[in-house]
Amino acid sequence: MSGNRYIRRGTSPMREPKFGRMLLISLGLHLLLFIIFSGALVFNSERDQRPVYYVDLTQMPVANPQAGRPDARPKATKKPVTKPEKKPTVKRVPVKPVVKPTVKQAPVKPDVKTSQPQPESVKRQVNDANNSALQKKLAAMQREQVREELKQKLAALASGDSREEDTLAPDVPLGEPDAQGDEAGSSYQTYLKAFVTANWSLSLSQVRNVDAETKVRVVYSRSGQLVNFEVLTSSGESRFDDSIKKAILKEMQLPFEPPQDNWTQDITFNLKDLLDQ
Amino acid sequence: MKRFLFYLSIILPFLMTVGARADIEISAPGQQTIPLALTRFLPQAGTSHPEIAREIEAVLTNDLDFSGIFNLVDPAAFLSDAQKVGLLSIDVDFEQWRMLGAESLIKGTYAVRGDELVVEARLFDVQRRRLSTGRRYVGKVKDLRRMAHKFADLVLQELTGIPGPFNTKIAYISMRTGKRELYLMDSDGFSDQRLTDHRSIVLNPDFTPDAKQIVYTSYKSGNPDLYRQELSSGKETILSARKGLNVTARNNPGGDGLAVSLSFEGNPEIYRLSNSGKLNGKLASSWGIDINPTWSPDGKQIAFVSDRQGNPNVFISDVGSNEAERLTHNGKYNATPAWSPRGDRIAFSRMIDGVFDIYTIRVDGSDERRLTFGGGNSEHPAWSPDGRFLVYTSEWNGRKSIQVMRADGTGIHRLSPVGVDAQQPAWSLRW
Repeated sequence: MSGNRYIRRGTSPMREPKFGRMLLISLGLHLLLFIIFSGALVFNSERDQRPVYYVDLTQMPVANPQAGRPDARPKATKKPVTKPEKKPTVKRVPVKPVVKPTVKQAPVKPDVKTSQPQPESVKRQVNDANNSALQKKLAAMQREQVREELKQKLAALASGDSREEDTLAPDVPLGEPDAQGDEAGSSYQTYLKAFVTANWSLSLSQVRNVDAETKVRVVYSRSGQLVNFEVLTSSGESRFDDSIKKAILKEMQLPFEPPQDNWTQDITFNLKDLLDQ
Repeated sequence: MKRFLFYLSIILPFLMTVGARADIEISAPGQQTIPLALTRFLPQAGTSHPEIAREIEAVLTNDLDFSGIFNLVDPAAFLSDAQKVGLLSIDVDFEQWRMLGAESLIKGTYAVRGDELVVEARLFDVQRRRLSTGRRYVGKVKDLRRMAHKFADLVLQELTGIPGPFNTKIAYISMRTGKRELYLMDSDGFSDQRLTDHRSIVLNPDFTPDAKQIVYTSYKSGNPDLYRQELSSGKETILSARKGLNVTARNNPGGDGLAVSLSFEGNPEIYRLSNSGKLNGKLASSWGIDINPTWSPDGKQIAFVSDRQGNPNVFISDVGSNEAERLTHNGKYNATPAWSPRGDRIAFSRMIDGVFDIYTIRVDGSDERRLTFGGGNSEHPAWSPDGRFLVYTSEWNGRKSIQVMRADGTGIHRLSPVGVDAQQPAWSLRW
């Protein structure tokens, strides 16, 4: 009865011109969006092999990171002093060979670069009556310098600084994998992730359920001060949750200024990477 | 209007996506250890005894470091608070410890009055600036190591929920007198003492669940009979002296009798004995040799070694069913199984190319892991009562010693005295 009424009035949606086609398009688009944002198009193997970036926390984050990797080594700025100085001396001054041989003939290889004794003073020392004594002293100084360099290298190895050399990507610009900006540096989120991860310490033996997952919300002021922290979903594992609270509260002041006041971030903590190991 | 709603339905999901905040996911902690500062204990009153402070520190350091759970802060970096006696939260300068990166802090004092020793130990939560746990131990000076072990157990309980296994004992067989006798030592290899003087061959020790008695096989009377000794008094009784083998006895974790391999019927089978030694039926039998039983923590299953399918392999059977399922399928010789107190894994030794190594496997037969690699034979694994560690016999250049390692195979080190032949360890429950 009611169906007939609609037909009679001519207002049925089924009678709208091309309505069916538009409805299909709409449904299709919704379905496409759902597939894209649910990540169903991404293969599982790729999802499991998430890349691990060792973010260099000494490099501050930027608002518009360029395409690259956050673990890339920042490119050292070339010293403009060396090139222009060398060229004119080579061309104009014929006395130049005096300088070169003295440097080349130096017996200790690695010290030539670092010690850089002034040629004039060296000459004077060589011509001195106490030539041999001074040479001995110079050699001792050079040996000391080499030893010092070795010491520093060993200290760097022992303190784990060497990891930087192993993990930082040398030939990639400092940035974010999918970014399109023009600034060298990681994004604020990537930096925050690395910062909190560094403060999170937890032994697997503290956890009963290895599938534990906790979601928290942190809010930072414009100056980088933690102004709010709340647990959105708890794992139910008190020690796991405690370790996360400690990780957040350990450093309440960020080492950088967030992009906006009341900068709010939701962080999910779990042990997926440990389980993969 | 309809057209507007239609376009809105298309655009809305885009708008929602653009407005949404992307979450950060952190899927592993930066440090898988807890930064812990352990200060040297200070004299509470009276004269200072630096040797006592050093020994407490050494025991705690050894226990906590071996647990693999902690990252001990270098004492050289300690600031003035390490020299302050105060044990109340308000007396501790937590900011100093926070600067050093410590999340937990152990402080303590001791006082010696004649032969009496009083040790006060505290565990603080640096970040929350509060006391986590503490104990006051009163005893003789000779109890010093035990007090420190007990506190280490307490620290592990507080921070992981499961107490540590340090205040426990390890029984083992040694030939230091020329004969195989039963010995007892602390979980860290100290306080070694002999328990038997059979001047024969003693084998296969195992503690009762209350850790007050120990059962073992001895050839004292010429036959491999089963004995039980009360540890406090040294009183020894015969549990089973049946004809043939009375070997590899393992106490039921619930205290309800024991499983033992007997051959009085000709072929070694696994029987259940009551605590008085009375036969309570068979647990496993076959045409082959059934030996080396080990109980599941709930006492409802046993794992054992049998050659019923040819080579020696580990089998599991439900108590009372007499039907066994093969657990190990690799290697030609799998022996000496030990069921983890946590119930999830079974440790065993496997011989490959004439050399035994220790393995663990899940009780469903999956996730087999090799824990020792070369360096001679490694066999007779036994779990610590908390399932964190494994103790085992290591044979190198013909000399056997007791080694201990974490359940993942790391941290291997010797427990038995240097130069002493030692084998077949058994780890007690709480002492």
